Amino acid sequence: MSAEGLQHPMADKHHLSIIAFSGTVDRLYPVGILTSGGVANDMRVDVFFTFWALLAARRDPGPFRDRVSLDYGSDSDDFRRHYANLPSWRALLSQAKELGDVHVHACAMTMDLFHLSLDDLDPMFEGVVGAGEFLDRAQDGQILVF
Amino acid sequence: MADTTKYTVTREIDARGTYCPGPMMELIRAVREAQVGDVIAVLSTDSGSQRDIPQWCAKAGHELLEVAHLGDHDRIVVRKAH
Repeated sequence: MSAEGLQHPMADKHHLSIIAFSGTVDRLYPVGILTSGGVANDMRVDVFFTFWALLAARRDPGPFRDRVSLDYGSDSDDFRRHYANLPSWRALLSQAKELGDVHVHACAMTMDLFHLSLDDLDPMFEGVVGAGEFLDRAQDGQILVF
Repeated sequence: MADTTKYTVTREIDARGTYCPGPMMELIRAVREAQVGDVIAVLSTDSGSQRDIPQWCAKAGHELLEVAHLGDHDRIVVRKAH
């Protein structure tokens, strides 16, 4: 397992850490949008994809493609209609990574559990890290969970 | 606000129809690609840009030259300062 890219952030920069857990687009969009907001504020942003979010972030997400949370019931179609006007959450995150100090990590345990390798994931991922290590590096800033 | 006769727009970005954070991210990209002193105008229909872009300018240290409300869209003009 490689922890490349997960270095201690520069002390002069604010640090935002985001844990992406849910595999539905209604929760993956905020990950992309808030990461972009972090870039606009010149923050370092680390994103840790675990469980369903990591499965949704595979090159081929299978049934996780464009899934909307059942929490929204029949409103999920309404949500789909609205987000059809937006770039995909992946495009938002990739753009943020291109323009700012953004680092996207895959959860080591989920990778093992689902027999995944980095090649199975979207190219935006730069490495695999453990939860403990991610939280250790996140201590100097805020942590959001989606 | 700057006197609008005192600058020439180097590049105009038409981000109308895109939603937050689209116009701001397009501006950040353009500023990154620009030379110091270049003036970039962003056209936006996204109401969040009126607030986000001036705040970004203040934070990032670039000069906000103008926020014009032109009926169905806004035109926000920024000079790359460093």
